[in-house]
Amino acid sequence: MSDRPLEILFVEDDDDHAELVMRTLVEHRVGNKITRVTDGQAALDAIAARPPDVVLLDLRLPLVDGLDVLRAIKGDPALHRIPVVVLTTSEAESDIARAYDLNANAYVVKPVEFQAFVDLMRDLGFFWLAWNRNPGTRS
Amino acid sequence: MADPRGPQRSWALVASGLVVALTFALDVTLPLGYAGAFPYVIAVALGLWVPWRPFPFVAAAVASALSLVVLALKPPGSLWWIVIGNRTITLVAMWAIAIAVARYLTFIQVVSDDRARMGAILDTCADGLITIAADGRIELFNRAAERIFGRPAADALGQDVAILMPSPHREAHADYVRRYLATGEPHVIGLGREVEGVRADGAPVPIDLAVAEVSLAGRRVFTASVRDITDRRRAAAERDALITRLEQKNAELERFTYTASHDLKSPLVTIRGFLGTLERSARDGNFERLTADINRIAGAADRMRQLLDDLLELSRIGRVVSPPRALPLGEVVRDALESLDGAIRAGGVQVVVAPDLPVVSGDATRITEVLQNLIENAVKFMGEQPAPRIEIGARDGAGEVVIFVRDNGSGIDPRYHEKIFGLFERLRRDREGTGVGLALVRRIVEVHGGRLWVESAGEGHGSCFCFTLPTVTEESAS
Repeated sequence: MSDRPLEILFVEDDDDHAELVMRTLVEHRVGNKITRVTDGQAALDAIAARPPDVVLLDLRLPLVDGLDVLRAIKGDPALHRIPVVVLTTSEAESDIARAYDLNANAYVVKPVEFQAFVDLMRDLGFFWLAWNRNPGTRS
Repeated sequence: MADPRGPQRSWALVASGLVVALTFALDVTLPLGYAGAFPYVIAVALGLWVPWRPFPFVAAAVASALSLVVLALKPPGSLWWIVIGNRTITLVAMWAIAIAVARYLTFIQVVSDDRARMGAILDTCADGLITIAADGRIELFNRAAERIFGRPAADALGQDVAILMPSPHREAHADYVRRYLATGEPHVIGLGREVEGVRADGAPVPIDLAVAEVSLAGRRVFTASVRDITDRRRAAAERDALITRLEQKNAELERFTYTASHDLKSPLVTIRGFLGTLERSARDGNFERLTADINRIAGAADRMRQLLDDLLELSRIGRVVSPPRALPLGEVVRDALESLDGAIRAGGVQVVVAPDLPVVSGDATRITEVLQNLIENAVKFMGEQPAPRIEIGARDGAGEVVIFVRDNGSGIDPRYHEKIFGLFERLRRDREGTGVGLALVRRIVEVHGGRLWVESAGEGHGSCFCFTLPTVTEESAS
């Protein structure tokens, strides 16, 4: 199976966290194109300009916050198939429940176990590719 | 019924004596064949009005003796059996009446004792007690009722009970009673309910009312028990207000804990994450990256300390506020500007302070802190403004002063006007500041009993931060 690298939109306002995650993704060759934005509005603009394969989304962001970005993606028929991985420091049950209510595809709490995180990103990428190549196979 | 033991009853004693004297005179003068001793019965019967219970027997004994004395004085002669029969019937009637009167006096005594006891109970009863005739007239009005309705019993007795009710019940009461008497369908009778009464001075009084119907010798009477629940109402209102405040505090605390834990964890993620890369960098001999990562860790640790300091400061505000003093606002503004002199010069910002700033009431250190924060923000968020300018002024509100810090800087989108006051909220992603400043300012203003808000038409239109403080009162001025 060809391991097509993913285009990832990475929404994170903390530079240090961004650096850690990007290093891991690059090191494990998950994604060959990672676009990083630092707030919710920029994320929505970037998605509108060019929908990524996967969105990696922090919850607490300046201006438009992460849950609003998630709501906007999953509520838009043109975008709702884009897998969204919520990546946040919050372990609050209310946040987890709200994220899944809004149809987040995964919820990962930082600090991540990096191998598990990489595997998750790979799986989501394959899932997305299979789905979008053969929309008819959707059950 | 009148008290049978009253001193005015001595007339009965006198009358009884007169009757005895007259009867004796009559008995002595008349021939023995007449029933001359019979009026003695009247003297005994007058005992009904004599407030001394042995009286009827004493009267009967005296009358019996006198009757026999007359018999001894005048021998009966040939008609002796008529005379003896006559005297015997008189004596029997006298003693029968004496017994009846004595029983009556005992009965009266019991009734009056009961009445006194009931009266004492009625008057010491904490609840108002009122009895009402079927036509609505007040028949009894105890002391508690006098207190609750603010009118003496003398004013209430005989009045229509509707005078104790506010409109529209006052007008409708006659209909309630008519309907009840006709259909038996109660409005309050037999049901306890909280209603509003009205005092003699027209003031409303909340009462707990229970009404029962009693049948007295075929007459319908209503008894009402009335409890003043002003205190209970006030206590309930206070309790509700406290609960609401407590719930607000609780929600605030929950939000605070959530935000604090989330944001405090963030530097830890950084520290943990980069610690993991140090070893590899050392092994690879990549000292450049090693140094960079160590710096990141140090930065995160500093940031953590800053967050904790800010949190501590925030929590102190609620507890440590000096009692409010009269503060000349002009001086406070000058202090705040002095401490920010460097930043203001560096930004080339023109600051205009309104003349004649008022005197406000508050804690000098805290209010200076508020102004420092607002001015510092204004300087920091000037954007690309070529002629940065800050205006500081005040205007009068109702019992408060509205103080404003207006800038012509980058402005704030109305969508975020509330969000910016949240803990750790930052609209710009600069590394300066922890997002505590405005939360702190809001807390200080709220502790002073004021409000804080921002006015801005949006990006590029500048912003105006306003807050209120109580105007200086004589109490705080002294």
